[in-house]
Amino acid sequence: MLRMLMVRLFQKKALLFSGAIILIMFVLVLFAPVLAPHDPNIIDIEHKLQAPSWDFPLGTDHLGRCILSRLIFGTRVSLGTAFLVMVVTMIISIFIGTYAGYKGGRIDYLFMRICDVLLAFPSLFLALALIGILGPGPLNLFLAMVLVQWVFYARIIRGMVLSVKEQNYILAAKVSGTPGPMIVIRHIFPVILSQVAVLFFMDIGGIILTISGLSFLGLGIQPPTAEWGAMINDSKQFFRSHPSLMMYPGLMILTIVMAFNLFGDTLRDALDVRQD
Amino acid sequence: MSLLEIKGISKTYPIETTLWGKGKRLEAVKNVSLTLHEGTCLGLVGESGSGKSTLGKMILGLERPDQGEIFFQGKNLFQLAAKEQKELRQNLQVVFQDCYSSVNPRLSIGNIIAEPIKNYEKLTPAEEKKRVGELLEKVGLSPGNMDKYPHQLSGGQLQRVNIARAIALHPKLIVLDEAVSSLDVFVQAQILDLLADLKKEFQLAYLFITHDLQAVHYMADRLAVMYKGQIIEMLDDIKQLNQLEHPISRKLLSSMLPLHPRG
Repeated sequence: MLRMLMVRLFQKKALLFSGAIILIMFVLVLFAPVLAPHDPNIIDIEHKLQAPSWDFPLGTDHLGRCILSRLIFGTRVSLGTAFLVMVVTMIISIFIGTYAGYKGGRIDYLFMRICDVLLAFPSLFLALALIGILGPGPLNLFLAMVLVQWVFYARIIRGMVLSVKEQNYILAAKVSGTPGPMIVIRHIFPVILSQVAVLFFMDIGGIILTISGLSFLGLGIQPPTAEWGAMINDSKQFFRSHPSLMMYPGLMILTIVMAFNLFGDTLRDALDVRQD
Repeated sequence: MSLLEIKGISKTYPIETTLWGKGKRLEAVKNVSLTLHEGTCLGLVGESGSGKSTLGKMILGLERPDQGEIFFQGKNLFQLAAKEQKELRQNLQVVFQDCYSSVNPRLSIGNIIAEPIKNYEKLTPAEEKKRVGELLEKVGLSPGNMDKYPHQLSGGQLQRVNIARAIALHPKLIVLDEAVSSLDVFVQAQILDLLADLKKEFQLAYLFITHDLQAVHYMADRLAVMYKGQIIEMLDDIKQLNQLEHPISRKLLSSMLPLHPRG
């Protein structure tokens, strides 16, 4: 079954293409200090706003910092934070969603009402409000994102668990004496994990966008750390004279978000059993 | 001593919920009492929605009755400590109607049958494999099917796998919830034969839930007819099927094809 899936995955060109982009991004994350030609934070006012040259392949910004190096190091911040947010969110949601869905009753009711309340607010505004209370900074950005995001996934995962839970094979497992946690691990997780993986990749693009958006507003990653949203914010005063300053980080965001969306979409199609 | 004794159990389901949780309720099972003796088969017939499957689920512990008590081997099933209950439930297994949804499509046949064994016995992988192989042979499948997956087997073969899982712990009672209804007539007959053989070999008792009087006539020793959550008629000897009196039972009976058609 797994081999069939692998074959099907490799047949999808879009998946390979987007996967390759994501892989390149990860290479950038891992080997940023080796690949970047300069230190991203070295300020050299004498060489500010230079055009691309051999020394600075994409030119320099208003403080004379190497743009290419900042883009490469920005991968670490954007992808790293987005992954961390998504992984922590997913772990919390899987735990709460599965528990609520499987147990049902009062606990389920309580969690779902909390979800209802949190879902009633637009998530970006909720995140803004939380950062407003906690203050700007990477840790608070991370906290705000997780607190806002978990409700969506907890709800979706609860729904998945509910639909699996009434299957006869779960009832048969109960009758044959399998304890609850074991039923969840053996019979429920394998079903929902593939769908959770799809959600993960489809939505991580959105998380990257939100992090960049909040950093653009000065609420997320703080200068001088190289972050794409913050870079766009820095360069907005030079928009007329040096539009490329804004274009490079914008293109990076576009590429990575598109790659993740495409990857998630194709992954969902490939995992869809109805194709057989 | 009777193996299973049900005393006046009832179960209702909410069909309308209001803010205060006091909406209309559907009475699925109303004040039902039954006894089942060791090594016998009790047929439980009734139309769909008559509450027979709910009754089966309560016996299996998948649903809790609102009222009444269930005694299994003389012990009250719902008043035992968790550990004792687990011990007792080992003797109580099930085969469902839909053989496809009764097995996890992601597990191999060997793993499916081994699940109850893993829960109750500590065996080495080799011993476990041997047991599964024996069980497969018992239900008329070759042990070579162990490494196959459910989608590689036919409906009849899968139902045999479900039966193998049900007998893995040598239970005393198996609830057969429409266990042959989804199979074609030819396979039905084979499965019924298999169940009859197993009953003799292991002194099994069956609660045979079905709407098929013909299958009941073949399998069961006694018969109970359910209608709208209640037992409306009991028959202590299945051979006297024609003595059913209640109009609903007569109606079920008339839907049965004659065993010896004339002309």
